[in-house]
Amino acid sequence: MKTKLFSLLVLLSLVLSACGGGGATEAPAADPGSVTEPATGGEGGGTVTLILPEEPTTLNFFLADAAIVRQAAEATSMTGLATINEKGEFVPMLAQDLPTLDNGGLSADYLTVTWKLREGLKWSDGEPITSDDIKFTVEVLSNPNSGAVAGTGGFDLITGVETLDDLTAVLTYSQPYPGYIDQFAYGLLPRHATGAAEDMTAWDWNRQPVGAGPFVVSNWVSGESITMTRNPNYFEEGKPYLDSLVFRIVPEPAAQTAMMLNGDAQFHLWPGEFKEDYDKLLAGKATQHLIPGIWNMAIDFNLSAPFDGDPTAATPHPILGDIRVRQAIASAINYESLQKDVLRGSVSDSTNPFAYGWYQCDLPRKFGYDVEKANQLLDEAGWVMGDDGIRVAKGAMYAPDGTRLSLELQGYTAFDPLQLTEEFIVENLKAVGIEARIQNYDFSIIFGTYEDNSPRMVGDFDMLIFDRGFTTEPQGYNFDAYSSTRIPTAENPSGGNYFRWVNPEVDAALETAGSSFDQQVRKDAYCKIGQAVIDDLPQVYLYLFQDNYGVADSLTGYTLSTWGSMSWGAQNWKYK
Amino acid sequence: MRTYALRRILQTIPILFIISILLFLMVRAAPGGPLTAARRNPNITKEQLELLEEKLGLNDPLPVQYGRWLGEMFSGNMGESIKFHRPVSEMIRERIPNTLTLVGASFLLTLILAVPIGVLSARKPYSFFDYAMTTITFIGQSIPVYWLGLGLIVIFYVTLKHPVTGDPLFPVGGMNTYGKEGDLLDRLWHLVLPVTALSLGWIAWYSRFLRSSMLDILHEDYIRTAHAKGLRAWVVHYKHALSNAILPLITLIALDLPSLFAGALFVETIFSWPGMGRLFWDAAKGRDYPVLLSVVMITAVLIIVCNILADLAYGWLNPQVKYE
Repeated sequence: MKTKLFSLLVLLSLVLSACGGGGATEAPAADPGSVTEPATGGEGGGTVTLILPEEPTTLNFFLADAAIVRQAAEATSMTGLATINEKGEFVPMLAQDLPTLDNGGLSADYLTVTWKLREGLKWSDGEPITSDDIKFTVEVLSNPNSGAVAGTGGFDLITGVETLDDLTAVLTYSQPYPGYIDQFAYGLLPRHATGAAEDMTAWDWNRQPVGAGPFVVSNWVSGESITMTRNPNYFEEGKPYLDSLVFRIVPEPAAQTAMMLNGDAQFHLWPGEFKEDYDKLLAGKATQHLIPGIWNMAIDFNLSAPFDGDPTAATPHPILGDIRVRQAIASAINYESLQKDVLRGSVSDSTNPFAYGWYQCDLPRKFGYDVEKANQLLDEAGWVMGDDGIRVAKGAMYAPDGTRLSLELQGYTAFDPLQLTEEFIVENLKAVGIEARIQNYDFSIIFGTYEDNSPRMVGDFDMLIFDRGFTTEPQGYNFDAYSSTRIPTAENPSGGNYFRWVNPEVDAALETAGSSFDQQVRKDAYCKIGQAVIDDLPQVYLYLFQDNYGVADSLTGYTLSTWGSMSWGAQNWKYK
Repeated sequence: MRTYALRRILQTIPILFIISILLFLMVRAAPGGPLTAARRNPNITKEQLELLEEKLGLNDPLPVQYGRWLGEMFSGNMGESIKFHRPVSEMIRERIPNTLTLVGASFLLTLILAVPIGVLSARKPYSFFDYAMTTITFIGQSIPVYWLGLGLIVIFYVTLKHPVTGDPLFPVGGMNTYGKEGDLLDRLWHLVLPVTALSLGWIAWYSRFLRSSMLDILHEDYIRTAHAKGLRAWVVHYKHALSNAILPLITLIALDLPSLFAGALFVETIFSWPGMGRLFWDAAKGRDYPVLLSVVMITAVLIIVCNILADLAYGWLNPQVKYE
């Protein structure tokens, strides 16, 4: 029965990939929050096979440009002073405690941070982990020639590291840095097993890391598999429970699911099937879990005139410059149907940029799905219905009479959920007399640079649709996206304020969020920005993607978290 | 002959030079670059990206970058992968044995099966055997390899099971069972499905080609003479006819030889086989210029070399051909 179902699914996907269609049925509600399976029973031991759709380029997180690296590296080389648990809180790992104002680890002027390591820690090769390794990590990540790309935020602010003894390192900062714990949550680098900072990209360590994590790489067959065995020196007593992990690189989605079906794999990263189909197919063998991801889908409006050779906010957009048009668009979208029917519950609702994490703001939509309201707003704004069902300007705010209410919707290609969303939005907008023309570009054009003339950078677009995400330390990303000083222009080519949105209150809130160490104060400031997005509508948020993982029912002790990768917490995994 | 060979080899030098420029420009004309994905990574700051762009020399004028690449190609290590931070030569060296195993085995199987099928079909045209083979080869040529691969997985991995142990008949992919690295039988077991998927189309194509070439020859006068002299049929067919009919096939084989290096992307993807096809494809998707350019450049060289070899082999095997 199941094999028939599988063959059917494979055939179906072949047919669908040829026709590019998609069905719509009722989907079960997504699991709220994270998924935690407490470890119960079981003797320990055994091997777990994990499916990765592509090969990690390295196991050095700091050199990684793609999310796939972390999926494997987190099991071996990314155990640092602290980590982020499934609730989004920092918890100590190699450190005895988190440095705070209360315990004196963080000085009153926020400029000195004291980290104290646990006693008796060892690297996977048996050498002791000392405060000098903290110093080395800072030396490497603050070196602009190291080649490090990821996780380097804040290291240039550290002016000195003093090692008081083998366990204690005192860090001095040139200015207060709110992400002072976050920056040490991605692993430490051992001085004795690596090399010079400038040679980081050439370290043998990158593929054979000596780490503090639960597993150690024992074999890597390029393009096929990475095998890790348990680290005998792992600091948590009696862990990891498993003997080994095998990461298999399986690019074909149907082959991945077939492996889960036959029990040849236990952990499946990003299954291609919707949860409903997956669980039915693999009933009694594996279950798909959905947890909130960080990718938040929105339509960005260009508030300034496109194709006028002026990337600044000086001239308003002839159609979208009028807030009533943006409100009408927001009212025309059937969010619930989009999330439940089109994307079959693989996403959750989201109304503003701060949809997860400690800064999560649960704000209601001001303009929910209301076709009547949308029509009324457009009538008021001077857009009358034309003969072909598309509205035409007659006394509109900026557009000369006779202008058709026709807008381009730009997205990126080869991402099915995005294409389904675009088609649905086009239908929604047509129902209220707005023509949206889908214009999709290659990923690399949509996310290209100012020098490449990427439309969003030079301001030559009407509406953009893409998903954005940021980490536990949100200041850098959001300052870039919402500050009026970050509108991309020739003088400011790296800016991220694509909407060309100028709002003094938002600028002030960004200032507050960036200078305070009080999480509540910072959260309030971010929520102010979230509210301004809802009020001013420089963009309208559609949904938040869920991360999906297939896990064999025989496995226990795993935790799936927004903040970790698939292999986060692998030391706790066990067979039932 | 020797002067001809020498001339052909000398001619390739300017050709390769022009090809290298064209390939470089084509690869760079594709939108985006190696850092596009990084631009979407929330853990990477924009300052860090700009630093990296500078370090990789991606902002230098194109002729400067071309010159640097050419230098690296000649230096032997072919530069360093932007994504993997490893010498390109090392990455290619790892993949070549895998590709040779997969494509080589398919090639061998193709020749072993296609030659007899082609000859037998031609010996008794319009017989039951010929019609059966015609049908099968037409199917083999028409089925997309992608579809065939998935079909094989559904049948031999998911549906059919070993009657005693209940295990799948063949593995879904990969090169080895975990813990059985270096076990030859295990490797062969892993080769069955991908080789089947890859060779079916080739067998069809080669056997059809040989059949028609054989049919032409069987109508030649000297074949009739051979028959009239009272030679046995199999001597006529296999010694006199086949040795001539196979000549055009040599050219075909020589032209297909570069795929022993370039790999077979679809089969490698479906059966998780780490060959050159996937190395190329991953490099193309990630715009990993040094890897991408090295692979296409080596493929280009091989195509040219195999073309020359095909011409020379043809002349050597067929005394009627004279090289000026």
